[in-house]
Amino acid sequence: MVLLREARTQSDTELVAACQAGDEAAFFALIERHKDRLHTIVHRYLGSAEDAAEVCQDACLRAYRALPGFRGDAAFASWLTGIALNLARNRLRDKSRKGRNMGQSYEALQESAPSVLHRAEGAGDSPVASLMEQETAAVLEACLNELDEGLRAAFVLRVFDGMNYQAIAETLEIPVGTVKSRLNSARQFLRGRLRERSVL
Amino acid sequence: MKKDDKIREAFSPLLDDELHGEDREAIENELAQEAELLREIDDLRRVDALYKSLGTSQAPADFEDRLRQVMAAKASAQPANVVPMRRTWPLLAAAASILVVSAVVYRTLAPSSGDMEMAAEPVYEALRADDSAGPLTENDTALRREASESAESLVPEAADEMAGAGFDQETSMQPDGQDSVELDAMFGPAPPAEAHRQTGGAGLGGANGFGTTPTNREAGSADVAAAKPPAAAPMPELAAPAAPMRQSIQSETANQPRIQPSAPATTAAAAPPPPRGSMEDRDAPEAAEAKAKASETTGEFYDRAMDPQARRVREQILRAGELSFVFDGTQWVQTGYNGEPLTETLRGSAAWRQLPLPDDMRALVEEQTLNVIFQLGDTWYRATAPAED
Repeated sequence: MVLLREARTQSDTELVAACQAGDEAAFFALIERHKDRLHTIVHRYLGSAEDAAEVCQDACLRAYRALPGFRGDAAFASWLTGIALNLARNRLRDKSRKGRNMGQSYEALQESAPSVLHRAEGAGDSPVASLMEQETAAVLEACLNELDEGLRAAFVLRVFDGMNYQAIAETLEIPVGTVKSRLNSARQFLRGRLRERSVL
Repeated sequence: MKKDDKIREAFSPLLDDELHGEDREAIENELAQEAELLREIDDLRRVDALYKSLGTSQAPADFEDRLRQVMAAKASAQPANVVPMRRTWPLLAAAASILVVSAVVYRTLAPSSGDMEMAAEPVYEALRADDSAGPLTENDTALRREASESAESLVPEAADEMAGAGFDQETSMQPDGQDSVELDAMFGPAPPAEAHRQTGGAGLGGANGFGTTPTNREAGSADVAAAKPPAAAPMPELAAPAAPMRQSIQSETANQPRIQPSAPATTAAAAPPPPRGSMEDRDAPEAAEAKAKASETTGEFYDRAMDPQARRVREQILRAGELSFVFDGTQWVQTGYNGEPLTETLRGSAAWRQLPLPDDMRALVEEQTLNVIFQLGDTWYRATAPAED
């Protein structure tokens, strides 16, 4: 069995091998290592921390079941993230079919809490810095939620996880050239939206 | 392409440090001469910085504990969830056997004797005389009586289950003992292979909802997408008038999505074998042949009314188009899509992940690895894993 101390020094590949040999502790060592990273990615992708927790749990469960068939052609981190993003995308579509979006778009935010956006747009005049930050964050998240799913996934992986293009390509199962174009499109879209909201 | 557009294409690689050497130098030189482009890339840097300032989020503190609980719960619930039909099947098989034997006894012997009590003994003797595996021992006889009694006691329970599953006993339990129905008879002849490929499974789905969605148009055709019924279209009734308890999926029905067993019979293996020298084997070679074919079956009738996830599954099936799977000993593996074979489709492997499957297909395989649920014609099936014992 992999002890916690040993697990900290073992690579993902070693832990995966231990897990494939039946060591459940090795699996939880992998989860311990990747859970916050995974949660951040899914949270930013879905726009909801609660849903992110559920999706991450489901992703880990599926990864555990599928691990015997994992051959290590891709990095474990990319593989796990890919599972989580697939589930997150399914959840987005389910919600979308039911008429409920996970995160709020800018327009939805305008309807539900126009004052928040009003203050955010005039953030420079706000005397309370922390409130301003919260409001800016709300606008940033709303704009991110407006991004196309594919663009958002690439942007989230790059900006919040710092993945390089090759890792993003492996995770999303797309060519590196597509990663590049998606990131370009995502940034240009966000730039336009944030300029409209006077955040940029 | 305009020069500015070419430079803009390089913005992200530049920002992400994915541009090196001469390419980087060239872009930087171009940028130095274009104030507008410089402002633009500066904006993009700020976009990144703003989003990075949102920071990271942390998984709940009890994430691992909850995961352990879910894993334990799933592990304990798995047998019941994965093969719910397995529990029901022995009961239904016992009930079917009793009814079949009773019907045959009544039809063949009762008219001549007019006394069922008297007729039972000759039948038993005939069974005994025809037992090619050797004479019955006392133990055999006792076991047979015990089985008969227990089966009789199970009949009401099995009948209740059948009624709950939407079966019409009078029509589904055919008196001639046939418990397997040819697919062709059920769903009509399979469409020609070429036509089927062209329609992306429309031969099956055009009229019954087994079509493809626009997301699958690469695999299916626009015709199929157009033929797809609205989401609210009523599902075909599960209990067709002549629906059997389990229906065989014949290999000769080309282009039908099918499950091909790589391991010895799956669900069929779980069914109790017919008694040696049974009336069914002796008197109905066609039935015996049908039964042998049925032993190749891996699909079981699937009662979606009993599955709260059915709607979601249906949506996935509709998106998935035509599937075929094979059980490799531990899991179901997709082997075909729209009549085209796929290789290296082991779930979870990187090789599988690299296959150009439609996104929704991945979701289906991911969701239903051990419990493939699919539709043939108007009928839904669940393909279950082989019995563990």
